[in-house]
Amino acid sequence: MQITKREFLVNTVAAFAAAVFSRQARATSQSGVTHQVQIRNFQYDPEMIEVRPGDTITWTNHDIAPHTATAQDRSWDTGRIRRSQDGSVHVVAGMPTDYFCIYHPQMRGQIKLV
Amino acid sequence: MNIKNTILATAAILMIGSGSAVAQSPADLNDLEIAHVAYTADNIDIRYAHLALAISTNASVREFAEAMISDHNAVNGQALALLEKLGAAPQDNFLSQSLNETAEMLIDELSRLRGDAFDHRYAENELGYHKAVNDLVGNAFIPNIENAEVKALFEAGYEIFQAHQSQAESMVEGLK
Repeated sequence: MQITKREFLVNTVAAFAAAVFSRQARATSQSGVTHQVQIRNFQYDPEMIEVRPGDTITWTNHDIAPHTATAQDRSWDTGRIRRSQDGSVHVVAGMPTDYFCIYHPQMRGQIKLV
Repeated sequence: MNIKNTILATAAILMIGSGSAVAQSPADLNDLEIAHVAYTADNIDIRYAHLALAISTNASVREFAEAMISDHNAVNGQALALLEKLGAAPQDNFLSQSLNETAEMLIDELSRLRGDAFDHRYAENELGYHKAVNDLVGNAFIPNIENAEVKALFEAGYEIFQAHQSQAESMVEGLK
């Protein structure tokens, strides 16, 4: 069976598109969604955030004082986040969900795994 | 006499004797003198914190001290950056000198203490110190600062010091 030039082009474009979409789908499932939490006036905003395994949470500090987002059992930690800087944590299944600021323990936040 | 009473008494005595052009009341200090007081107060608390890290083995005391070093250094960094931007230098004054004199006495006292005695004295002083500084910043400094950027920095610092006061209250309660 002979393939016309038009059919060849259509098939090639379709194959290329399938490859691209497949790669994008893999990237989405691997890297997930990035959620933003703002730190202002010694508070996490929002205080509770819903995430899925594979997602990333990024905290941005707007205070002069450095802060952290640290698991209550200290199993995960953003490290010190200075003013106007970010700190991120990759979400994994079963991770502890209550967190606080290691410098200011009155600051509390919560992750809800869905 | 605790640190808060010492600071307020010193300020009151100096206010009563005021008659010269040199500021003798916290409310009379200019922006650069106020900046000097704040920088001095930050450094004093950093010194107390380093002493706590050297002497105390109590986890809550050590965590509080780490926070004081981190936060007061951050505030001082912002203050110095702003002064550099404004092309100004902080001006020494009676209140900065009084704070330093009181701090020297307290550091001498604290350095002789160990164990629970140190922890309690450090914690009570931190609570009194932040109450006194917050009184000054909220009632005497912020209402009188003229430069808008300096005022904004003090307002941000005031929020931090109020959080410290709350943390110090928890530390004192936890040590009872």
